[in-house]
Amino acid sequence: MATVVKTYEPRFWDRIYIVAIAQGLLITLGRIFRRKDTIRYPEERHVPPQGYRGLHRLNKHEDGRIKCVACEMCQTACPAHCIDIEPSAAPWEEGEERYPVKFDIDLLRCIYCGFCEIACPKDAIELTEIYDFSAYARDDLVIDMDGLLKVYDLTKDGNVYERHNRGEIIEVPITR
Amino acid sequence: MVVRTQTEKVVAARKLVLEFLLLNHPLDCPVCDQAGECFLQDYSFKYGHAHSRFIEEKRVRANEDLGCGVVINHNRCIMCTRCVRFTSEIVGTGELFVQNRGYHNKIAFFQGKQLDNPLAGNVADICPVGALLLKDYVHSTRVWHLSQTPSACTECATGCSITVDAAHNRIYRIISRENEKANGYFICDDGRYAFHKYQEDTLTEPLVKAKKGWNGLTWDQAYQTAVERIEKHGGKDAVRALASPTYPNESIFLLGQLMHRLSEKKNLALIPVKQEKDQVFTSGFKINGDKGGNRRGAQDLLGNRLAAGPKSFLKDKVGVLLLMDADGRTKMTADLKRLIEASPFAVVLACKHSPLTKLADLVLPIAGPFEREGTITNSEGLVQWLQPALQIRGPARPDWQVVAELDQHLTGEGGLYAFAGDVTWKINQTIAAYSQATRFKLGEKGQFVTGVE
Repeated sequence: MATVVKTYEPRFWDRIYIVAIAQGLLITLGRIFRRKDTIRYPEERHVPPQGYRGLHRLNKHEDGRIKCVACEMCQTACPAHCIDIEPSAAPWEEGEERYPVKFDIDLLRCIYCGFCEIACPKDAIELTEIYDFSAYARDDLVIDMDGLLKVYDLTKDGNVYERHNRGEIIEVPITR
Repeated sequence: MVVRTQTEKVVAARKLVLEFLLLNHPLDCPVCDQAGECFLQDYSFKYGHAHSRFIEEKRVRANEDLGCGVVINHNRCIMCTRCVRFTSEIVGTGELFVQNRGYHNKIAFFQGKQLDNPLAGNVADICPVGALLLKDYVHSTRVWHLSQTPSACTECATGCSITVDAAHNRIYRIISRENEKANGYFICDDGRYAFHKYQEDTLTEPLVKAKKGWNGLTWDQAYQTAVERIEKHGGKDAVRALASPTYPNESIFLLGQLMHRLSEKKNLALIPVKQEKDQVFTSGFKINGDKGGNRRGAQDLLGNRLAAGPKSFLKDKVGVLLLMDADGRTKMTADLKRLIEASPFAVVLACKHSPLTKLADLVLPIAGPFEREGTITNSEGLVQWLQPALQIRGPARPDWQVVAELDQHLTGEGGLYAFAGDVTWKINQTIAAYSQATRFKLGEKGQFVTGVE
């Protein structure tokens, strides 16, 4: 079936564009007095709702030891195969006898499904609210164990974006 | 009589038994290396409670070194005493026993006498929980990451059936595979830990001896060098070869064909391999003293073409030597050294650096023991299929392929083979006794050859 294309021949008032410009400026004028829909990123940052799944973190015990025992359940559960763990015998006497020496997450491959935190028997891996991490190279978006522990230090005292908007912290994340 | 195994009463009784087993068991499955292949874990899922009614503190004991690379985690032990019975009934040395009685009992060794027998690693295999652990495997990976390759051990002439557990092209452990025709249920520690020694000092490219050190070559250059040297030093008639009894039948067979094409003389012998005393244990398990795992196969295939040994070659003028290194187990006898000295050019097929490769003039890198494919024949005449667990490293090539390509370059004859199974088929066609030992008839358990002339 053929499509009928309606043609429109502009008249004189259309051709001088003054009416159209005035109409556009009227809309702008109206918007000036309304509540703003945009935020002034990066000075001000959007606070994602509770349960948002962003950047991962590795939790620590109170004494600073890593909670992870390198059981590789998260690696097994991961549908995107983005976690790479290398276990080893732990150096400390007290506590768990196994810990990871390598814990890499490919943030570009990750689909942020949260299966890893569900699978974790030690509540060691969690997804945080952090969403704005970027880099200039793909390799820089593979976060290692130190990075994941730094994310824990950053996020343990509450939502980073709320604290950022209150002016408590300026620096938000860190990749390798 | 009718025995009911799934009634409510039976299930309830099982639950009670399991509750007792789990009284002191830490249930530290995330840390435990047995997780994934643990019977207690399976039964806990089936009959266990989520919470223990035991309000007292769990008994905690420190780990203990049992010797021979075995560590015991007393907390996980459920006192099944399999390990105790293993050392007394299978090995016959009886190092382990149950110390104390009742709540205080634990597995221990007699005063000052740790595990000290060549089958000790098996106690970790038979332990149904994660109490007995191998030091070299503990905290290295999880069992579900491992791909299990059924293969055979070539470390001695017993030819045990093994399962090679590997992941990411790395072997993590070797465990025994039940095969009543070969080894029964167990393997020795030599075979269990053999993979470690093939991980270091590996050869990856063809090397030719230069004035200083070694020069790398491409495969074409390497074959060309061999052909030129053979023409230069006495021609095809003077070539002598020593086949290794640790290699699969395929490469030994092809070497036999190659040497037959070169000359009608007895120009082929077996390379000397380290010999030890046979060790026989209470259960009848035998560690063969002959460390050439495929000697029977080599003798079957080469038959009366085999010369007595390196010594018999010294009578005539020796030309180029084709040597197969017995995976570092070559016995550097005086005769062998003299033979290499007498030869103007020695070509060595090897997977890793060894005393023999140092004396060589041209080294051709071939697949290591766990990269090989083919058949091996143990001392009883059982033919088993060797399945590669690893990819061949770098430019190294399968042993049979190197021999076949040498044949192509030297004589222009010899069939073209696409993979090891082709050569096996050729053996089935050529050697009457091996006609039934085809790839598919061998299966995972192997097949005996009979009636070798």
